[in-house]
Amino acid sequence: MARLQLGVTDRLSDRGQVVGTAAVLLCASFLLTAYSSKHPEVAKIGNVVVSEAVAPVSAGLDSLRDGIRDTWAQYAALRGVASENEALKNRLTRAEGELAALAEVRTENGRLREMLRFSQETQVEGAVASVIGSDPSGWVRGLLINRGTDSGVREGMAVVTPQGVLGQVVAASPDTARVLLITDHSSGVDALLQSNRSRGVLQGAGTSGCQLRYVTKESPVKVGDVVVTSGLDRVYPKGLVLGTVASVTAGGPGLFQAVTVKPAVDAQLVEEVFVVGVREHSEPQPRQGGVAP
Amino acid sequence: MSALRVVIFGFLAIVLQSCLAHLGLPFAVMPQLALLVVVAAAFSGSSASGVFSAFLVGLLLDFSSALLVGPWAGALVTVYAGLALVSQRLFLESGIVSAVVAFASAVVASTFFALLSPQSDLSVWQHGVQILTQAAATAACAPWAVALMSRGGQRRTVSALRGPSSLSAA
Repeated sequence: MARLQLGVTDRLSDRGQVVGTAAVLLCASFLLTAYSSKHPEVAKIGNVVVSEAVAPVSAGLDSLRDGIRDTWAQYAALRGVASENEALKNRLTRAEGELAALAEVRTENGRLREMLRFSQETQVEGAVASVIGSDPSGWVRGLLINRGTDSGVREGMAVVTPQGVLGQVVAASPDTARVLLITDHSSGVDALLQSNRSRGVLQGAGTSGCQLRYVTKESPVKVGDVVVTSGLDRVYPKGLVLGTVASVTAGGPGLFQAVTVKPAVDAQLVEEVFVVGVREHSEPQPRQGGVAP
Repeated sequence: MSALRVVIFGFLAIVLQSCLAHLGLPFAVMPQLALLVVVAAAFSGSSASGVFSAFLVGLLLDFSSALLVGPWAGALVTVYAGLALVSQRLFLESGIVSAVVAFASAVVASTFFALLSPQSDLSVWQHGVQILTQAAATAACAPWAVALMSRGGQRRTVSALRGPSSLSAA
């Protein structure tokens, strides 16, 4: 009980000290207020002290704030860069597509120039056509071109390229024509060996290329000899390249040598052809069943 | 909480307040962090040195405004003394209690300051609104601020006069 009374007494004593000190300091604050209202320089001097103490901390916090603001600005800028990067990627993709198309046009332009040069050099009159398909059956070696009777294409016209002979037109519609390649088994071209002028008939052999038939054993034929058209079949102009001799077999029975010819033109790679005999600005041919003007 | 710790915390609170003002926080919603330091000090252990530390914090606050010396010192002393009288009957670890106490303390301190500082272009109504909004902002910050400042100091949340068991333990 005595200890309890002692504790309570201490508490009351503490509270008394607090209240007493507070009362004194409260009076002091009143006096200070009254004094500083008449002498404002007191507050200003104190402000200088406090401001000097606050300034470094405040500057540090300002730097921190600026750093956060800059970081945020950079983050926002990075987000802008990301969207810009996406837009640039899209533009790059489009540009690459346009570049590929341009390269394609350039390549086509080169082929057409070569075709024009071929026409001028050989004095062969004709028109350029594009290959738009091949024979769908797989049994006939043929191509489909985008010019037909409306452009003056007719059956029996020779189809050539600057590299050599490709075949002849076997069917024509108003807008397209079907070309039979010289490698087809049913194809035959009157030919000459360019070196010794030996005649023969170039017959299609399918995947093996062509066979030059009816070349006598007395004719000196070498591998690499160039085979050209003779012009006697009235389909192909004279002197156009058909291919080169790939192999020669003269030891077999019979009167003739077995001569294998590699065609000058790879039909798989042809994109434009030259249809011999077509006049570029000729009047369109009347359609079947139509009335001629 | 020692008197020196109270003064240091008070100084940091004033710095933080000035930075908040510098950042553009409206004065009407500026929390009175220095007042929260005094509130926490009063609940951590009332003493004569504590009153003096509250007085010093108030003086720093007065100096920072460079207007009058004394109003904030008197206001914080009043708050400290008032809380010292009731702190042994309150349980400040509750966030709601600390917020309510901070709100009431802010109202008292601001009213004290407003009465002692005549240079003001605010009307009574505007004064009242500002006192209440500042008190609300202070109350909102109170649970965290008081917990932060009381962490290192001695907490006296249980009334020493509650019963003889605590006294006998002491």
